[in-house]
Amino acid sequence: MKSKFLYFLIIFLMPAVVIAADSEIVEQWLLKMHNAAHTLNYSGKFVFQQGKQLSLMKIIHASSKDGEHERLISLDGVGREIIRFKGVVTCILPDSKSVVVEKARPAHQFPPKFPMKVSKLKHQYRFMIDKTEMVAGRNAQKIVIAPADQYRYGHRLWIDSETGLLLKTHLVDEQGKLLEQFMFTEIEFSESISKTLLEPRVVGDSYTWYEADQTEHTDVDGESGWVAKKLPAGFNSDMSRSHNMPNKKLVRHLVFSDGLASVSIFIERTQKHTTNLVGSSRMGAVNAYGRRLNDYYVTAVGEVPNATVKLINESVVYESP
Amino acid sequence: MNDDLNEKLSAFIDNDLHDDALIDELSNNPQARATMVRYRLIADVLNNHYIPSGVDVSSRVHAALDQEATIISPKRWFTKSNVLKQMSGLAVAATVAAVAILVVGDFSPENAESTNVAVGPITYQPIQMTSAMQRKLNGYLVSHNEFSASNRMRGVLSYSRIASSTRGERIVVKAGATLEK
Repeated sequence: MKSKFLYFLIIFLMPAVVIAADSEIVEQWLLKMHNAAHTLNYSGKFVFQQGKQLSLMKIIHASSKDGEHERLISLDGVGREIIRFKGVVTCILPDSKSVVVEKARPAHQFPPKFPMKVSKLKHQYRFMIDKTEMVAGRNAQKIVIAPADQYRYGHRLWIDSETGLLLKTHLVDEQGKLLEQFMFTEIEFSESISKTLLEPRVVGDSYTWYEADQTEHTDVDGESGWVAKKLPAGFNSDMSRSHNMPNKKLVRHLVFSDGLASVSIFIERTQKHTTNLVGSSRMGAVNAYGRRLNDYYVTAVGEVPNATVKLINESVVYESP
Repeated sequence: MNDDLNEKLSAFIDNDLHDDALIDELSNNPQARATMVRYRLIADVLNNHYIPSGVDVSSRVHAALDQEATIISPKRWFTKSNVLKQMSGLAVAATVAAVAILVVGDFSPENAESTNVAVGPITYQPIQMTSAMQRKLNGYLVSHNEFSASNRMRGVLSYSRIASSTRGERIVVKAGATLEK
């Protein structure tokens, strides 16, 4: 495993043009990218590649005093749609004739707080400024983020030099294999976006709606009693809350993050007539690991290697607060 | 294109299905052909590792997408042997078998060391997955997306993982994993 990882690091860091960058310069680029993703008005088409699967998608993003309004439409297959607006995420799934409405993260500030400090991650990642390349007819600055151990993935980002919008990204696993690729093929920026473009498709009466309870409770540190005793270096507790899922089941949700990679832990009470996945599973770059703990099911989910979700999940215990 | 045909087409491209009826369908259904042609064009460009630096790959993909509308393929192009030849090096479409997830690897959660990444011979075994369970996993993904640090920098793009999924999803489960009721 170690030799494979070293081999990956050598391949990953090979391009001679890559230079180790000042963490402040990288952070400025990432901050610019973060703000652009939330504040710009734009529409475009992009290709999303997950393993061997390719999808063509359309995105429309508007930002106004009402906050962000986003619509993502799959242009292949069954035409799924995701709309994110006013504190809810609506998933329209024509293949299962269902609409799932989930609660979005509470917006305490706009744009959302930038989640990381590059200089604090120097032991977990190596950040590099690479050359500039053309993406969707625009000049883009390439930034390489290489992991220092097997508990996180690597990133290659192409950031629009002018606006800061992320135009292309590679997510690379711990052995150097490309897991996911996203790339704009056309993009258009505008002063404002017509609301009609953001309206979801009309769904018929045959669709079943599943709506999450909009109330939730955010814990203060350690209040819930659920803790993870083992975390990879650099990971810290980020958030703890409880909320009802669309299936009406109460779930406790803990998030652990190193500032770039994040792992969610979901804890639910066991119930009759429900099915739970025990063991490891993967959907593209997202790994999950489920296990039973007395009367509970604990599931870890994250865009991290299998080793990371497994390590954190298996260390979760309940300690009376 | 209906889901059943999509599944057959996907299995066909993954070399898991050899079905003469499907060959006929490909010969007679321009939409099915167009889907394969589009994926082939995009994959050819995306997977081309020899593109000189400075070339805008995304523009080439965009051009490939545009080209889809203008491609007119003669029927005889889709003889069985020719289609298989065309598809053999591509393998661009995922298997979209409905309500099935695949078991891969030789892995037992009970016996593995917690810090080891399991690597083993790949074996496949379908497991039935309920729609309720898929909804639950989708719910987990949405909740995770909303609080994930790197996804916060990407905005709604992280939802591509949900929007791009097709019937049956593309969830793979390591052998040893079970569905527990």
